[in-house]
Amino acid sequence: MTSKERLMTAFRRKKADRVPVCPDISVMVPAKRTGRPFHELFLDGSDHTGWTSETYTKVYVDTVKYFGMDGWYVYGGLKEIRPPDAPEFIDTIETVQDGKLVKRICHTRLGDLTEEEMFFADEPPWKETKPVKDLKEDFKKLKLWMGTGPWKYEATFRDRDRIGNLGVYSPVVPVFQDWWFNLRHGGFERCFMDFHEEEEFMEEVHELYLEWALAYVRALAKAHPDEVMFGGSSASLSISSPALFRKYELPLLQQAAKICHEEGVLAHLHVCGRSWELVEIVAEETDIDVMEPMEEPPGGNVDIAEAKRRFGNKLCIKGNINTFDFMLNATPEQVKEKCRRLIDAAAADGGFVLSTGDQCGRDTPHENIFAMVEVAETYGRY
Amino acid sequence: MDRYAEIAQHVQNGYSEKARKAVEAALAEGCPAGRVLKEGLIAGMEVVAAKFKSGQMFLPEVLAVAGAMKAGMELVKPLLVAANHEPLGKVVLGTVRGDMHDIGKNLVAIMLQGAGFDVVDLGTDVRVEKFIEAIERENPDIIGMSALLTTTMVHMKTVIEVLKQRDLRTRVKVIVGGAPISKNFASEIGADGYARDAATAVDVVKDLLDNK
Repeated sequence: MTSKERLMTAFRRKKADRVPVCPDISVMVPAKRTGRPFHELFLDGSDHTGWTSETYTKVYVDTVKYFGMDGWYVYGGLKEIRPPDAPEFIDTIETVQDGKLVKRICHTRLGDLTEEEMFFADEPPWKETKPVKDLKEDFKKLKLWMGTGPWKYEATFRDRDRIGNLGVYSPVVPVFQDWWFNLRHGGFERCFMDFHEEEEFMEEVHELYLEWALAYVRALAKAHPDEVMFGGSSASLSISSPALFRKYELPLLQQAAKICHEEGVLAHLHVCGRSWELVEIVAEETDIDVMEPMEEPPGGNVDIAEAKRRFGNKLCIKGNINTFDFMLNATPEQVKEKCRRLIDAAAADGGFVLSTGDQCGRDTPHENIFAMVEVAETYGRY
Repeated sequence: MDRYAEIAQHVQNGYSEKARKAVEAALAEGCPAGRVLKEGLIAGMEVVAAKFKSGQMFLPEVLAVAGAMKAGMELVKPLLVAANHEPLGKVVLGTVRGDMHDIGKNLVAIMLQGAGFDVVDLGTDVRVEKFIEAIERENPDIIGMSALLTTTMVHMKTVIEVLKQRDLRTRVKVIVGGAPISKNFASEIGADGYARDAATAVDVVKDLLDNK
């Protein structure tokens, strides 16, 4: 089987030739491997649609080959065909002490939207300011930038072939809390206070988001990627709550999974950190096919054997080795032992992808990633 | 339900306006500010801290509670200051250099304030010198450092080393926390305490002050 076939078989809860192995190496491990300043990889000036950059996507695929792992390409998407008079964000890049500061400005007829993002040489980028600073005034401008539909997209993915058979092509749609966190200045606290103090106004915001997100899902599904991934980091129970998940995320996930399935495309949900309480909701109230990374403690609270026992007939399980402590500090032998335990716990009858929790850290020893691959190739044979 | 229990209930529910009005009414009826703080606001927050610690409450709900706590504190604080009411202790908090994540650190601040501590929040991306200046200016009992990134957690050790070099280490206790931090890491870098979550941070701070 190719890596793509292997992963897709597992995603459909079937047995592949062996357990697929797909540690979440994005984006620091591949970036560090290049030896280049990270801002050089991310700010390459290319016209890339999706997360990161054209250069980084090549770096990711090179790294998949290097480790011999099954790839998970979450960097693509469909380019929007925008009206000719739609306001656009214009970037200027300044060199500052710690790296490159990207200043973005969007002139709308109601005033400017601005944001600043810092790109470091050896650390992940970080948005220092975000467009929606004054909730109600800036949301009006935001609507001018994003439009109120109908949204149009190109029919095909420009980078579909980059990952080829080395893995799955999985464009990302942010869940509402991710989308809002990315736009709203003031961090998670400000977002949550919006939900709490401006409940009625946030209904309007959510309504626009939902219309846009479903339009994008429809366009993605018609372009037939291997799957659509719903990016739900900000819905993690490490920061959010089951009540907000039900209110803001469930409507999208329920409708979007059906849209994907009508086109024969799988639906995949990412929720890192604490997520056990959400696994039950997703398995029982949506048609989502794959959920990951189902993190173990201390980052999360998922017992993968229990997840398999209770929800293995509903969901493909992808996970769940802790990244920020175990993958960084364990020996390869310890990693192998843990991988064998995970395979014993969750791989029976297929529907399991050996993976890590959210994003392996920059300094993760390569030997530990190679150890995961070795166990999948040997102990993980069906 | 007496006034104190009513305040505590509104805090637990995260009802800012109701908490503010109940505190206002209590003070107008002659309830001592110290009791309003302890038996009303702090009592409510203690229930919340316990529920958060056991996984029955989640961060967005705690933030709403913090709003209610703050609404009540705004009325009580000037009276406490006038009456020379002593806080349990003073804690300086900051997310270390290169790290912009602040939600965990902010939650620790909420929990500590809710437990009766005076908190000075230095924000995110806090360099060593800023911690040192804050220690000299604020004379805290404890400094707390937070990090979310494995690449920035190393700066905690740097801060502790500089504290030793400047003969400040004996003046303050140091606690650390954040997703990638472990008890072992805290010991290795010479911190006095480690808290795995915000509610535990209050217990750790209280223990350290008891043993100071």
